[in-house]
Amino acid sequence: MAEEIIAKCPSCRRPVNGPAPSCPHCHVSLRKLDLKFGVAPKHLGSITDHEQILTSAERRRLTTLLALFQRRFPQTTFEVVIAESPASVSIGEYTFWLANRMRFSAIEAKGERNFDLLLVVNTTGESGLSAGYGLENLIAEEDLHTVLEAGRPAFVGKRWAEGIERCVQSLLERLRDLCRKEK
Amino acid sequence: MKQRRVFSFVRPLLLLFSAGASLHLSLGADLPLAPPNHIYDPDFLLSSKGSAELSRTLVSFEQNSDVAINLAVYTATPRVLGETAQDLNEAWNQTGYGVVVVFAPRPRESRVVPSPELSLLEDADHLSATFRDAAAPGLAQGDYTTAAAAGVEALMKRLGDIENRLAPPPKPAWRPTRREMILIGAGLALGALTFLWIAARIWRTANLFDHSYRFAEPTAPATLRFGGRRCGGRMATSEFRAPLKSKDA
Repeated sequence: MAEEIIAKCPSCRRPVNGPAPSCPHCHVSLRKLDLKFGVAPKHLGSITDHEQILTSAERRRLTTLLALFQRRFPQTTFEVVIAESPASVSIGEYTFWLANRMRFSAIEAKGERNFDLLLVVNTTGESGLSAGYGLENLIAEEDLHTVLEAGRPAFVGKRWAEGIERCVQSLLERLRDLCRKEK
Repeated sequence: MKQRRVFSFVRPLLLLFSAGASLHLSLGADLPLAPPNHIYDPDFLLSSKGSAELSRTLVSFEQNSDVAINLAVYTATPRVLGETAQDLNEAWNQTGYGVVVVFAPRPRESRVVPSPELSLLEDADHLSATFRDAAAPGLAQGDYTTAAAAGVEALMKRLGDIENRLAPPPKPAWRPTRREMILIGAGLALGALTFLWIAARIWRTANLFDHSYRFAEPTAPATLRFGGRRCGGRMATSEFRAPLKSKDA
């Protein structure tokens, strides 16, 4: 019997064990979040920045870095979404909803075959990083926290590009170490 | 009439005899071996003391300069002298650097013939003139030994620096022609391109700095949560709002 992965509810952050169509505690589900957030923003490539918070040069630099990430980990797609959502929006819910609804993954990348990563930066003061089902065996929630912490100082200073860059670099190193350990 | 017939018969005979004698003289009888003391003086025309001293000088000169000077002193007609000088040179100077000096004090004649190798550097006429001019005062006094010694000394002076002349001339610095430069440039460019091509192949094959990693394919199907088919809530969140400043602060 495969070891069950304990996850936390994206809304109430309580642990959920085993298959659950909705959170047993707060009853949140993707359908409910659809009703809450409406239509997913249009995917604009590896960096989705509808508010144009990043400059062209910053966008180019980050695109290059994400392309490198893609080369290092060909199974993975790393997407960055920069949004300016009201503070009332839960970053956990929003990140979970975008990870499932924004059309950046390949069609076949579903369930255990999804190795994608999504970094959401809410310029009002929050960030979220989610990993697909395929990475759950490899990367722990603490690793994702470490990655976000790497970019935190820059995010505090509103240096968004630098913060994202540090997150990507940190994740590159962490995943590389994990892959080497697995071998 | 009869007398004319006799002369017409004798004249060819005389001519034939004369030619035979010349041939005999030119070929010479048995040539003497090269004298170990560098002086061939069958008629003892040089004084024994002067000959010995000159011999030592010639031996020493050969040791120092690798040029052998062999002196042959005897009485002969100028024509025979020239022919004999050539013969002696062929006999005594078959290899190496050397000269044969044939000195006939009585008719005051001398010939200097260089060996085949030395003849590339020295002219026989010049050498002969050098010897003759130096020997002239001694000959005028009737002192053959002094004359021979002076001539030999002049020759030694002339041939003493032959080693320097034997040194190969410095090669002129190689300057490529325009065509050679084009060829060299094309060769270098081709070499550089080949090197770059091989390096690029190795780089791409080695993938040193762009190593890709692959995750292990999951064996069990994922446990779907919250209705999400791509992500099941494995995430981290972080808050980085700047602390609000109190208005009272």
